[in-house]
Amino acid sequence: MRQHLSITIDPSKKTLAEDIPEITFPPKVLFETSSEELVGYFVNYDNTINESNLLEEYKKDNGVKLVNSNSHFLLFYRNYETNYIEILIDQVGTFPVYIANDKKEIYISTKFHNIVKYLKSKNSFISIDPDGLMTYLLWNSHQTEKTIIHQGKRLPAGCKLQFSLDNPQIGNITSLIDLDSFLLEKIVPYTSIESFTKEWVKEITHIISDQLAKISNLPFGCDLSSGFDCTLVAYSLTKSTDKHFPCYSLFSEFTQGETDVNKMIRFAQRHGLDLKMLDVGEYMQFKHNMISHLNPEDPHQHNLTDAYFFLSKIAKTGAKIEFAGEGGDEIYGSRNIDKTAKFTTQYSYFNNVRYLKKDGVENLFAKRINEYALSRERFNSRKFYPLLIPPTSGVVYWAWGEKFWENDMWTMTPFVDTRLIRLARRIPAHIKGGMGEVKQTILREAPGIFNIEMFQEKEGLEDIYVNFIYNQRKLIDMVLENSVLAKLGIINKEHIYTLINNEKSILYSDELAISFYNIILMDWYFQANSINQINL
Amino acid sequence: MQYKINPNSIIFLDIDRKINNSTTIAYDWMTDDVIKINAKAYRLLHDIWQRKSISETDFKNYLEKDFMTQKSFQNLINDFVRRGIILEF
Repeated sequence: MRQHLSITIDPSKKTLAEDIPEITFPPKVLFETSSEELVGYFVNYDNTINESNLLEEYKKDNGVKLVNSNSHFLLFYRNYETNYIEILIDQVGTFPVYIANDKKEIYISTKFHNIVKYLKSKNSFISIDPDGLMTYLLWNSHQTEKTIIHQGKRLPAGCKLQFSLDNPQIGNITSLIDLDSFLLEKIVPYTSIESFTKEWVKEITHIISDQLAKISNLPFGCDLSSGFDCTLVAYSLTKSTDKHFPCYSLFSEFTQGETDVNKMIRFAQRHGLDLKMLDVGEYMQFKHNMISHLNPEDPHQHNLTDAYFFLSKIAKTGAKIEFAGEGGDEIYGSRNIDKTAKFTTQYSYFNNVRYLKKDGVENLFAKRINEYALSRERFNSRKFYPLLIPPTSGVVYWAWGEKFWENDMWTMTPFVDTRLIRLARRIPAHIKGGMGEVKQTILREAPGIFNIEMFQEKEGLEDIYVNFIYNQRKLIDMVLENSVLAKLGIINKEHIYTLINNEKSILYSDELAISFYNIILMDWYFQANSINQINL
Repeated sequence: MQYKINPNSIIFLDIDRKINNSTTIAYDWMTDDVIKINAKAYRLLHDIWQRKSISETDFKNYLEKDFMTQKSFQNLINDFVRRGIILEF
């Protein structure tokens, strides 16, 4: 497992470069003058950045151009004359950057738990952040600097943390994403679906060619399922390179509605893809031994999931890059960016209303946390961090960045690219419907790619979480017995037991089962780390 | 008839003014769709929210303030009621 980046920055720090370890991809960069240092990891895909003179590029506008380009990066800039340090990440948020501070220093790590360890080493008080906690428990991703603990922050996508070494504080986080200019760009929709689809496939292939050029000779693979997103990426890869690459797919007999093995095999055969399948049935049923694999350093318990099994298996093959279809649904909603991009906090509120009230997830929580979860106080406390990309399309990095780092892997997401978003804003106006319908209408016009049997509604994987309640009762009892969340008045343990003991209760529905799974694992993390106060 | 805001359909935040020039979005749960709320409609909805509720006799205040006709104002209210953003009681 690769060690995480962990760096303590204080006035005595002479240079940052020595604390920035080499990683396979994106490459480490270092630019120094007598008065400045720029170090980190950087790769640009759209050829708008002069990578050989990154320091000059950075200084032109303090990073605005870098952030608004299609690049993946984490950069540390230090000015020795002003004694200021700036830390900047790309507009997708590909690097996990966690931050904490003590009196005279700032601590940065790519691993969340290192922040907890740092704060404990300083005997700092640690309390749960209620907004961060509910965001995670309801799986409601949005741009935020908050984490599950009040004293630890995360740098949001496209943002810069700036501080003076004379007085290091973590409060000065600003977004460099230029949403206003993006929205002012003149958009002329296509009138013909056929013409649009032709350009769409061409642009995706173009983006993938740019990404392939940057990874050079690193071994890569591609996710595959029976849907349209990974398959379009895999198809475009075959048109962009002659190199051999494996396609990996996880499957199980219980999730044929999500990934239909036969459809996938026929797609792979049609395009000459080297398909490698991993059976994750044990994970889908939650029959694996979860208790003995609980990790006190991971609040999300990634290593208990099928996705981690998948990632670690691919990493063991020596692959360094995995192409994926993330963002492949949301991109088809880009026409609505004018309507949505400035109102992400309000959207987040509506999603919380949906989960808690419409789906009934409020049944898992105590009254006071349900009131807090939909309060003005909660949403007014949030800062607005704009995005050009659809907010949920970067979730793969938000949720899995730590694990990519540990496995020395990088995920390439061709759909999460502003060139494609610009084009998606030009989807013919007469195509109506939601994202799924728009996608199918467009891709039906792409002859020679998809098999007709693929144009059917796919099922999700949500219903598998009910298996967690059936098959992990020992773990559930163990956690609830010592529940921190119950002691803090966040969940109502007695009511939860009433729901568990009635198989006809609302708990045995998709949405509640997922949140319940999150609650149990998060509660265990708090117990394991003696985090038992809340900032509410 | 009294009218009040449906708290599931709209939330009034400080950023409405700071970033969005007193506009926002509301959620139509009937059609699962988002509706843009322009500055004029925002003033009306925000006022109802602040006052907890209004009655039909309050309508004339809004007509004078926003130079709206009785008909266009009633249409606006009816539209919000139809979408569940304003609740009648």
